[in-house]
Amino acid sequence: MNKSEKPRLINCQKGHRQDIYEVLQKDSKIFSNKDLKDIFMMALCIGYIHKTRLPISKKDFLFRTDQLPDNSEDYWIFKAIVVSSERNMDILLDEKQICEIAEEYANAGITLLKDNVLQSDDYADFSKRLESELRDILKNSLKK
Amino acid sequence: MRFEHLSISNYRQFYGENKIPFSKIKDGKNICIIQGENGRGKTNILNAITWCLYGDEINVKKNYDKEKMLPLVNIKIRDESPQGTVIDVNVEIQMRDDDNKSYTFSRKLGFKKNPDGTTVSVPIYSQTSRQQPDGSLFELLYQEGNDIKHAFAPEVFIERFFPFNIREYFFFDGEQLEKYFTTSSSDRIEQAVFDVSQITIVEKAQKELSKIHRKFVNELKNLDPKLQDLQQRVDAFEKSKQVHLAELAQKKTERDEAIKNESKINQELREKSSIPNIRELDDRRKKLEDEVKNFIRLRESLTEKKNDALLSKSSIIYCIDAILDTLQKIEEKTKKGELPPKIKRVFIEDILKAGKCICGSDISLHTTEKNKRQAILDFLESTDKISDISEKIVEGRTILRSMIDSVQDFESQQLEFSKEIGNVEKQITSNNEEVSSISKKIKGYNIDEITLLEESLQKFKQLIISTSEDISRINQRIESTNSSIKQTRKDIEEEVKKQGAHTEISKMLSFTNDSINALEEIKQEIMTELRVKIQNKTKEHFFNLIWKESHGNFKDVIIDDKYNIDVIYETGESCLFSLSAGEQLVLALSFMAALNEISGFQSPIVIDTPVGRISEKVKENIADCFNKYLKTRQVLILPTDTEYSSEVRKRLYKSVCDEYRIKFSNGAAKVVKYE
Repeated sequence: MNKSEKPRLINCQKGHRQDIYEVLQKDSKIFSNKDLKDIFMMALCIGYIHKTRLPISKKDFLFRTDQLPDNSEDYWIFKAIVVSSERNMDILLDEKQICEIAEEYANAGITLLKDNVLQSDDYADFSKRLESELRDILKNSLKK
Repeated sequence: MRFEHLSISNYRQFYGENKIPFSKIKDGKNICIIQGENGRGKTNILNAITWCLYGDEINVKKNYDKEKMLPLVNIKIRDESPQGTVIDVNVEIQMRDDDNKSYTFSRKLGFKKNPDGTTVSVPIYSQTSRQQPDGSLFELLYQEGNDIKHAFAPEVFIERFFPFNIREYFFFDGEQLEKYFTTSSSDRIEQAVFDVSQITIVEKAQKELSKIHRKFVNELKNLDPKLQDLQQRVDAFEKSKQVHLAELAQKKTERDEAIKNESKINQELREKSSIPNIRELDDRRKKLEDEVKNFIRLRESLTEKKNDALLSKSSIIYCIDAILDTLQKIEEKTKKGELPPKIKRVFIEDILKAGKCICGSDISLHTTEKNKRQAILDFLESTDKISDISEKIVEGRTILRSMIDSVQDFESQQLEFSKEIGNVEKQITSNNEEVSSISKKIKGYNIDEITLLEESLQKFKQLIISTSEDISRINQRIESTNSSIKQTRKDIEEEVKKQGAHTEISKMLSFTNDSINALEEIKQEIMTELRVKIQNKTKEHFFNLIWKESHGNFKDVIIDDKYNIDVIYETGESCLFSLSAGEQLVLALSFMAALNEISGFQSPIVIDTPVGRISEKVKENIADCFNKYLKTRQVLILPTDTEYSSEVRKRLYKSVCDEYRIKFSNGAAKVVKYE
């Protein structure tokens, strides 16, 4: 496993920033006061939960990694997802790889997120479903 | 005296002949009910009775323009009759006195149908009866022994049984009784006492004596300048008194006009708003609507907070398995002693690069102590690659643990938010329901118009108070002028005596003066005696009628020497204007009963709309009152359908001997048995 530094940027698939991220930010009430990083985190988690990674064919800048300090919860979510999926803690040395894997999960998750949010009849409906889903996940996980 | 039957033919709503027989008072049953909806002829039963007896419909306002009222004759029969027909409107009342002698009063008036469909009244002439002012034929057939005789002047009998000037104490509208308990009621009460005292004869005598007195004074005046001077003073006082009386009459007219207007506006307000507190309801509605806006903002804020909390935890919860897994791996390494490592890999790499161990041994590539280099290489091999970032990982362990902890109360936190939002939504729903209910209640009412009416009402109330005060002042001036007249007359007498002259005239003068004063004293004594009797009777009836719950609250009922009626609370305080509507009605009925009894006239009582503006529960209490009311007298009650509820009917049942209702259809009212 190679050691590498954290890249400066987090990327998405070209076109997704305007077509999906910014649309979610503008048109969905749930992300109306959230930044692109927050949407990326949600997409990452949805991609992970669906165990789907999609490599980025053409990169486009999404946000800077300044927003992901080493001791932040969000960056440790990155690390936890990557350690869990690679089943190897050594990957923690390769921060470039950590970010790439996270980008791939988010790339898969973002279209699912968009469909889920924008197809909901209303904000309350999506929030209710999300709350119910999270409650179930938490219940099952803490049982183990 | 009791009614035996009432017959109403073609009078106002009553089509054809309507015969209403009344039973004798027996076994405590003295009440007859004729129930009718508003506008269907109920009040015209009362009007028919007074029209028959007095040629005057007591409940038709005197200042109403008769041109703008429906004619006396029933419209349906008028429309059915051919042109030129004369339709007879007839009301007949058969009565029986306590000696079982019968009296049948009847009044008839003809109406001829014009070509344009209207009618004109046609006077009826009779050689056996006096001509009535309105052209009606008023007759009385009365029993004398075994004979039935025809009275030439039925009015004389009317005055015997139901004197005109006290008719409103026998035949009255329940809704008008409150006029005895307003700020100007003392005049009405004094008038009522005067009316039942029947002392007009005393006043007439006083007037005649005053004329004679004046005649003598005029004779004297011509004879002596000093007497002339005194008489001039009397004349000046009399003139001044006349001015005051004229002023008094004007103020009373102003006040009565204001009272009428107040009553009219109250009626309008009742019609425009049967809800007495419509303004408060409207204000409450506005307050509720403002609260709803605030609640909606609060709900949105809480919802946003809830969703922020939801989103902030969503990443952690979605990846909880990965977090737990990573944490476990870190814990395992920690247990094994690999984290934190004893020696970091980078350190070993550095010493290998340097080619020198910390003990000083040569461990470079070319070293002769190859085993030492190998040992270090082996050690490097065994050292975890992640040892170089062990601090970050140890820190990460803390972060991962805190992330797990932070979602432990996720469910309870979300439930708490949901509960708060739920409470706010309940408030919104409750407020909206109340707003809707108020809107339904006040739908169709013009609040601005009602506000204007209420402002006018206040102005008239103020005018009533100010004119009442003026009346009081003028009365005092009149009293003072009367004293001056009395004193100056006495001075005239003294002067005449001193002079010793004109003994005859002075004797007559003295006599007439003394007689006038004596009559005034008699009048005042009678009035006082009657006032006290009426007070005591009113009190007796009041405490007999008032229901148990209120009984203990009151101590006394008084009518003072200024004819102000009052009710005294158990604490000794006045509480007339604090009486509830039901208690006020009982007081009014007690007062009427007292007037009736004191008057000495035993005629039946007719009460229209007795409990119009009273709440349901209080109506039931009033029904109980009627079971004890004037038990030896026939009482005819004309309630509306809402007044005569099933509960009220049940309560009155033991006192009711006859029960009718007015059935109305196609412009025709008919009185039928109740069931």
